[in-house]
Amino acid sequence: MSTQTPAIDIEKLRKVYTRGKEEVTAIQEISLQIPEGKFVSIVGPSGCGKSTFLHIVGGFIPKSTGTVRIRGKEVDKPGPDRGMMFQESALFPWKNVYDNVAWGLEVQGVEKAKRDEIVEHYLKLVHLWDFRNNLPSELSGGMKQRISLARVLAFNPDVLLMDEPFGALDAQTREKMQVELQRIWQESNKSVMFVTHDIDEAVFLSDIVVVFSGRPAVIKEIIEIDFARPRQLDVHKTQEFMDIRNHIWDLLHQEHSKSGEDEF
Amino acid sequence: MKKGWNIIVQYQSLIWIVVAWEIIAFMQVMPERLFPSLGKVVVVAIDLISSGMLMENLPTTLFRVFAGFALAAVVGVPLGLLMSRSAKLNDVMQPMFSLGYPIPRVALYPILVFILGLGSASKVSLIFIECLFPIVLNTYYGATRVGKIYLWAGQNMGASSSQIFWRILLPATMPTIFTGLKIALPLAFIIAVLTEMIGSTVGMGYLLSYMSASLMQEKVLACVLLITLVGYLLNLLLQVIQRKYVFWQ
Amino acid sequence: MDKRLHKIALIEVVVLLVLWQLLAMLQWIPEYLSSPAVIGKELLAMVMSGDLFSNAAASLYRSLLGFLLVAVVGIVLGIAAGYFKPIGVFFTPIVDVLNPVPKIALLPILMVWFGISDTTRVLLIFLTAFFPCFIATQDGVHGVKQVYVWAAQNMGASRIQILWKIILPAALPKIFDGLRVSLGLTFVMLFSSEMIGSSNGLGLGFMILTADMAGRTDLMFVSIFVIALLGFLFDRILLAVRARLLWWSENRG
Repeated sequence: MSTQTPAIDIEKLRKVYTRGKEEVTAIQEISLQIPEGKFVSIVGPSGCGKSTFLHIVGGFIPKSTGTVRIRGKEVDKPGPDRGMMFQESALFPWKNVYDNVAWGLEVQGVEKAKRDEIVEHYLKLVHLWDFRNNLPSELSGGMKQRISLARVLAFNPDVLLMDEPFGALDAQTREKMQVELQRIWQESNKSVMFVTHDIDEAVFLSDIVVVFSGRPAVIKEIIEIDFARPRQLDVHKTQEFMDIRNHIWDLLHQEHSKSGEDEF
Repeated sequence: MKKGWNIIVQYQSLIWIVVAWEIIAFMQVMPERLFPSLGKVVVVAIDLISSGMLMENLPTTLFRVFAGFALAAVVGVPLGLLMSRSAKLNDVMQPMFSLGYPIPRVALYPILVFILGLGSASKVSLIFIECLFPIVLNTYYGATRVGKIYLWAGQNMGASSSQIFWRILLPATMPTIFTGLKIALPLAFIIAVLTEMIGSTVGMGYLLSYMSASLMQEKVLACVLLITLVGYLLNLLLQVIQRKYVFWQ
Repeated sequence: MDKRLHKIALIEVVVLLVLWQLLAMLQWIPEYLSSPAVIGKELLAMVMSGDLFSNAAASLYRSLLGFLLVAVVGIVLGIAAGYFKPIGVFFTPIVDVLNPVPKIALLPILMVWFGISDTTRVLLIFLTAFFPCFIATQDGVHGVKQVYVWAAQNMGASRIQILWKIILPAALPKIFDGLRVSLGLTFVMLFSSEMIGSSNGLGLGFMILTADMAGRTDLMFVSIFVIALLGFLFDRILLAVRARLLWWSENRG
């Protein structure tokens, strides 16, 4: 493992905001390697800076110090080597489903015939080929996020970054999407960095769960999860699952009582 | 039957007004040339159309409206978008627009006449200035409210900054741009009529002044009717365009 | 932030005036564009002689009377039309038909009926500025969240109490948006109604017209400056009142 270049390599990343004259440390210092092809979730108490962390890796907001490498190459601005999925739909409301998925390929100058082939492949992968002529506003929240996933996969990034992509969905849709994501991820074989506040979601989906402390964020613990894949929803009921879940719950709640912030 | 009655109830206020108007006209509370019946007004309006007087004056007015309006849109939309993207440009422009917003800019018209003469140039310039304000301000506020995730998604897919500007920022701002255009177009028309009333030898505003010199109210009212109709059609045109280009709302 | 923009605005105005003065002194611009120094001198002279005040007062009387009428009638009718459905239904067709009429076109008609008088001018201002105020108020009432009304009913408020204590404050931000547009239109129509028609009497529009006929552009600039100043000043006053009344609102600025 150590001889292989990690898909995502983060070294001593630190983020300090200036709010007026005050300096606020959002991320104390984080170093993290994500091996090729792994599904890694980040969980932490709300407001701990896990989204900030992901946005820095995506290159959307600047870091204070440290380095981010994708497959060994240092990055500091957004680029198509990292496919980003947001909590709210970032689908362009003025483009239909097909053109949304084709958009990234088009601006990157992929020729039409090739584009059509790729778009068709990914829309079929997420089972929404029949909706290619619809506008995003005509789709449900779950469908929108599946299109978003197809759009990100279509431009073939090295890694996927997902910022609570199912956070706005209802509980049932959420579980269905988790199963779907697992299937699509297994077919695409990408490395994923997945931010969530839902412990069950993290344990169900991940090979590795990274637990962040409260603000300023440091890594509290890294937990490997090795249930066989593909996982079924009833894995939730196993004792092993519940043990891991409870352990992470305890870690997060230590953080809550430590910071003494009882606000929600 | 019931449906027809409902329509009458719904529009009763208009019916009351028309009936009241006709009663006053019929009873000759005021001399007929001061208070003509609406039927007569419509007849005169049709006469204005068929005699060609409308077509002598309407094209000039429409040219002034569209020239000033189009100029303001071509300058205002990119300016508003750029102001939302560049803090420096915004620092320079924003104070001018907030200072200029509340002042009655039509007061500049006499000076514009001094510089550019009584012809179309001064009128188009004033229409341009008037339209620029709602277009720039609405575009700017709309553009600052575009969700940053759209821009982030564009960057993420490898779009260049000009691609992000024209292919994400512009369409995403389109709904509010149209809000601005919809305020600007009637304004353009009003300013055209107003400036033509103050001084012109052709145009709808001139026709109105010319008719009012006759002291025949039915002629003036017929003119008002035609002007309203034109204004109404202009708005309709913009709505059709909006429906075509902002279909996703 | 706001203070910084004020500073920039001040600098921009000063730069503009200096540039204008410079161009005038170098005679790079035609003489009829005058210069800030000459205009300032005229302004001062007119302030001293009192001419300016009598003209500005006449204009202010017309515009404020018109605006007050608009505010009172527009808000009362707007709330009534928004809150009581039959009243709203009654007014909708009138507004739909009359709102798109370019009101300035009504000036010749009003002049025939009421003469070239203050009645004509105030009526024109009223007819123009009424609609934005009425429509915004009605919109504001319609926009009040149903849960506020339900919460009030739940706590035992009467219909009048709901109107006065829930609907009015909740609709106030929109009402002020409408009033601001109306105020702007008030000054535009004031100027237009004073410009068109006869040129005798008091008023800033007349001042421009008289100066125009005498070829005195410096006097025209004085009147334009005063009209602009009044427009700006009353907008600021309205915004200050709004900030005072809407201290609880997020967008009170």
